[in-house]
Parts: sequence; C-alpha cells; structure tokens
Amino acid sequence: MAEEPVSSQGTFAYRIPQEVLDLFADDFRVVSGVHLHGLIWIDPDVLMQPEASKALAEQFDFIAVPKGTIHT
Amino acid sequence: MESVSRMTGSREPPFAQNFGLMMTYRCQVACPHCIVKAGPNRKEEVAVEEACNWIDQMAAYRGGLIRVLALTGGEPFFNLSNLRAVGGHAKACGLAVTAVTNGYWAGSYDEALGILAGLPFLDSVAISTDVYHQAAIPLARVRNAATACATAGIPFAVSVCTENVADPDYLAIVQALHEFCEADRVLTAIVAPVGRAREQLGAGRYVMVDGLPAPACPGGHAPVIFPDGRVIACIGPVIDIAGPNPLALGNLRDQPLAEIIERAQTNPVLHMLRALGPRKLALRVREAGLAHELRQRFIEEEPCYLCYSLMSNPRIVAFLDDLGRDDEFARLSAYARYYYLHEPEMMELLGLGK
Repeated sequence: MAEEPVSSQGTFAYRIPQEVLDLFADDFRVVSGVHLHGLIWIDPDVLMQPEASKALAEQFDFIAVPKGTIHT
Repeated sequence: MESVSRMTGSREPPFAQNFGLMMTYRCQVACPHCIVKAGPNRKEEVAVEEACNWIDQMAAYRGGLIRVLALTGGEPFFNLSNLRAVGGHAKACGLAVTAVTNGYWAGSYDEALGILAGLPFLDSVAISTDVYHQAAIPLARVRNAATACATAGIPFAVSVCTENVADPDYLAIVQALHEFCEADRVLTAIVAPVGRAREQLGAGRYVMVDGLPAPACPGGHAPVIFPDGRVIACIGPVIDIAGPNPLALGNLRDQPLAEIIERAQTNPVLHMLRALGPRKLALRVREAGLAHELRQRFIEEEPCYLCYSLMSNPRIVAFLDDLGRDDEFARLSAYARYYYLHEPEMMELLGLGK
C-alpha cells in the first residue's frame, strides 16, 4: 500500500501508511501514574537550567501526553 | 493507582538518553519488598575501572545521546569510595549524575550535609522510604537527607513503595513526608511480587483484577547496567529474570555498548512495549493460541507485572522471539514508536517512511 503523508496533522516529518494510521486510530496509548522505583526520569535540559532545583520538582512529575494517549 | 497530578511537559522520555548503573547489591537492610534481594550479606558490586570504561562508552555513543547516569543498587552510598570514583568520572565525561539512596547516611542534618559536600557531582537524589525501609531506617534520616539536599541545592525526590495505595501505613508515611517535603516530590511505586517480595510478601495486599492492564511501559526508555555487565532494558521487575528474554539486551563484557544499544534501537518487542504496553503483546500471545500461558489476574492498572509475566515464561518468550523476527511486526513497532513517542530512529534504521 502506498504510504501517505500525514503532514496535515502537523507533527510527522515521515510518512506513515494509511492502513497503519487506521490501526492506530483506535489504539489509544494509556499512560499510568506508575513510577518505576529507582530510576527517575529526569530531563537533562532541565538540569542545565539555572534554577534546576525548582524546575526539577516539576520534572519529577513529568509525564507527557502525546497524540493518541489516554491518561489514567 | 497513583494519579498524576500535573502534566508539565510535551516530551516522552527518549530512548537511551538516561542510563542506570547498578552500583552494588550491598545494602544496610534486607527489605522484604526488594526485587534484587539486596542486603548486608551480598558482595557483588561494580569494579570501578570497568564501570568507568562503560561510562566512557556511554559518553561516546552517538556523539552524546546518553546524557544522564542514574546510580542505583542496593545502596550506592554503601561504598562511598566507589560512588565518588564512578560518579565523578561520569560527571567528568559530561553526564548528569543522579543517585538513589535509602538515606541511612543522614544520621544528622550536619552529617548529611558533610556527605553531600563530598559528592559534588550529584545533580539529583532520590530517597527511598516506605513501610519496608522504615523497619530499619527511621524517617528522621530521610528528613535529614532531604533537608540537606535542599540546603545543598541538590534537587531531590522521595520514592515510596507500597503494595496498595489504600494501605493506611503507606498513607501515614506520605502524610509524614508532606510535613517536610512538597507533595510533588513524593513519588509512589507499586512493588511487584518478584524477587524477595515474591518470597516474603506473597499475595500481599495487592488489588488484583481480571483482565490485562492497559498502561504503556513506563521504564523501557532507560537501560540499566549490572555489575556483571548485563544490560537490561529497564529497572522494573524483569531484572529478576535470569533467562534470556527480549528485554535482556546484552552484556558489556561480550559486546561494546554501542553495539548493544544500536541493536536495541530496532528491538520490536521493546518499542512496542514502550509505545502501547505489554497488553499489546499479551493480545498477540492470545491470538497465537497461547492464552493458557497467561495469568488471569494482574495488579490493577500496573503494567510491569504483566510484562514480567510475559518475559519470565519460556514458551511466551519463544513466541516473542519469533514475533520480534517478523518483518511486519517490526514495521508496526517502528511506526508505533514514531507515532506515539515521536522517535524516528527505528523507522530510519529499517528504511521506512521515505
């Protein structure tokens, strides 16, 4: 199947085939509040900020909500 | 399940930007929930020279893609000499350095400040405390460690494990933490019934439900290196699995780090887990006629125990190995990684999307 551009969605530089997009349309990604004990996700860009301590307090709760995501 | 109070960013944790290093299995305490069975009688710890070599490889990988090294254990502060050597080397290599600790070393506020002054490479600290740790390490030490971190300008969080977020003892600890620690800094993890937890907590107080938990994998972005050189895709319950499985990425004593991580970049099972969670794999297992191999009940809304159940079953692992070699599944995984996580690497490596 031909791979169709999805530039109309404004986020994808690569082409994703329409049949795959159709599959993903009903395949929501669920992000839970589960943390893995031990390793904390830390954004290194935030670490480099002058007020890293304050900024990181927010990063500790950093969970992104990308396209197709349900947040529980 | 813990709810997430805020969503402060638009990025997913990128693959392999953060790495973990298991410094040691030694710990002052042998908590009943510890999945790696750490304790005072364990001997295994990293060899400093070898760990520094691994860190050199991290710093060189893809021109600096790896940016954070999280030092964990066991108790990384158990051997301060090793912690200084490894953490200092990582810092000198340009990595941000974090550490996980039980806070035992903070006998007083002043003592804690002194210890931290000797660890100038630390960019953040995660302090573990919960019902299990507190049997041996009182909350006062956690308070000392946390307030010393605040004074020293070291960002910190407090990690709390529990079997059940409705447990009154867990709730009491969280409330006590809030007396000296902002709520945002207190993170909860559901302890998985593996390792020592399987032996000592048993069925525990988990909220078990029928059906497959839906959440995506929360930890497969950050591989972890163990003292014997093994590289595992995450720090979750799967680290308790001795046998081969798709999340056992390789061994640094056999292969260079770049080779292991480049192979992991196109690991279809790993990235499908990250994009859509272990439920997606479990549904494939069912479709393949292996439903009888799956557990029927899981911890409510907790994906890691389902993942562990898949990766610790040799018959399911054999199926997943075959699935990982299937070109169509690999293609779907690459697209899912791009679509949900905005990571094009796997598509590029597989020549898709042009």
